[in-house]
Amino acid sequence: MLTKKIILIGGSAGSFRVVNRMISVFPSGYHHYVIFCLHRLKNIRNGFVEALSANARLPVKEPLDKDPVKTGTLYLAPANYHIMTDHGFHFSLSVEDTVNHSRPSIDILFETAAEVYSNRCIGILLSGANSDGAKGMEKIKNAGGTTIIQDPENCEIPYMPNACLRLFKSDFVLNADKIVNFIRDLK
Amino acid sequence: MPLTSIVEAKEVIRTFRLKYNCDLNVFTLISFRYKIDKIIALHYLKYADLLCSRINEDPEFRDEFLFDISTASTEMFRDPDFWITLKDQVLPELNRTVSPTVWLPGTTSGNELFSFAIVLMNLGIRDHYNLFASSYAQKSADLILSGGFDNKHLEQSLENFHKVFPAEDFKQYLELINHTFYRIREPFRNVRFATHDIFLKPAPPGINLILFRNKLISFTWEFQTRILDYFTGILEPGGFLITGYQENVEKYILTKPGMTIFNKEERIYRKIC
Repeated sequence: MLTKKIILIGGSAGSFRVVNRMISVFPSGYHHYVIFCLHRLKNIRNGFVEALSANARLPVKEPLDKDPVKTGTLYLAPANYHIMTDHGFHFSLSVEDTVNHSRPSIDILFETAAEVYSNRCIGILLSGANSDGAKGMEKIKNAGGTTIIQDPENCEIPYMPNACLRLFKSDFVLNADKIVNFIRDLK
Repeated sequence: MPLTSIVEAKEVIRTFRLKYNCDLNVFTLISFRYKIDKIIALHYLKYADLLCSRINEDPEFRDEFLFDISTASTEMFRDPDFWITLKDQVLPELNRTVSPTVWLPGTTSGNELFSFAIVLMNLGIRDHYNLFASSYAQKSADLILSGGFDNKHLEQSLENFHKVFPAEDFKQYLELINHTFYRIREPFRNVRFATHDIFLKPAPPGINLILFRNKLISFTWEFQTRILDYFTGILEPGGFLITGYQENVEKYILTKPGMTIFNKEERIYRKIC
């Protein structure tokens, strides 16, 4: 039996186009868990799920607190909440203070997932304008998971991938096309 | 992952329970561990062991600790659509009651309380309402009444406010002292502050509206249901219960006697009998 991986995708400014492409390649019956943590406007609750759903073959959902983490759904961190995974394989949400000026914080999702899913994590960090996500990616790496950073030269805003590259050596540094192919072909 | 391990968090919980007969196992462990991280950093304690020692040896730290583990609301007028719904749909219903009683348990930063009071002031009905705010720690009331608040999210609060009251200037509710904004005291006039225990008891009598947004998420599911049993039990007929946007409680609330959905989008429930 194939092991279910958990694909964690973090992005901020300049990541929307790549995210939109990624969203479209997850086929129905996709075997792995998928969670997006994207920086977004805090006081706009509606519209983002709808925008992403337009290109998706799987349902896109902002999980409610304590929802179980399941395959067959593309989860999106809700606006103005931190999103965490807990040891019962549930989502846990929080309104604690911002981390790296961000809520949701990519670091918070990635590091909690690293603790629960350890080497089953695949962390993907995309374009962005602050350093959120770098520490979380390092936690994934240290837990035995796989890390993929969007090639800074391929990013609209390379600050976030560069911050990550300064912190540790990632397993992969790929351009957007290759990241999309990677998640599509993942067995 | 949080710096505080599961074992360390459980030791903090055990220490607090033995010292104060108060069980903090009501919090989800993941959320509680982040809170412990914050407290350790805030008080320069370095390790969870030192936090346990402080809990054991310093009685005055109890209130500080309870304040620090409380879930503060993030900014004033968070979710502007909610406040518009409150103003346009909920308050007109409540105004039919003589002197409605509103309770905000778990008040920590005062952001929700201040927002609520401003809405009432803006509608000219502030004196018509009885406002009760209670919290785990006395420090919350002291901080709120001092006018102090975290200026970090002021810009977001201003933006939120202007969506609710486009023609108004939020700065009329603030005063600038030594480069720091403070909230004016007028909205807090006649608000009755109190402390409550971990089970949010006691509650004021005759409650017509409970505002408890984004507090349930820091609790375990078992404790959430216990709190909802309590809230729906003490609410007056016709009264409202308001929870947070991502809180997963609709199905449970609708199993409670008399509880109905008043506004699904804004997580507003009403007790009809």
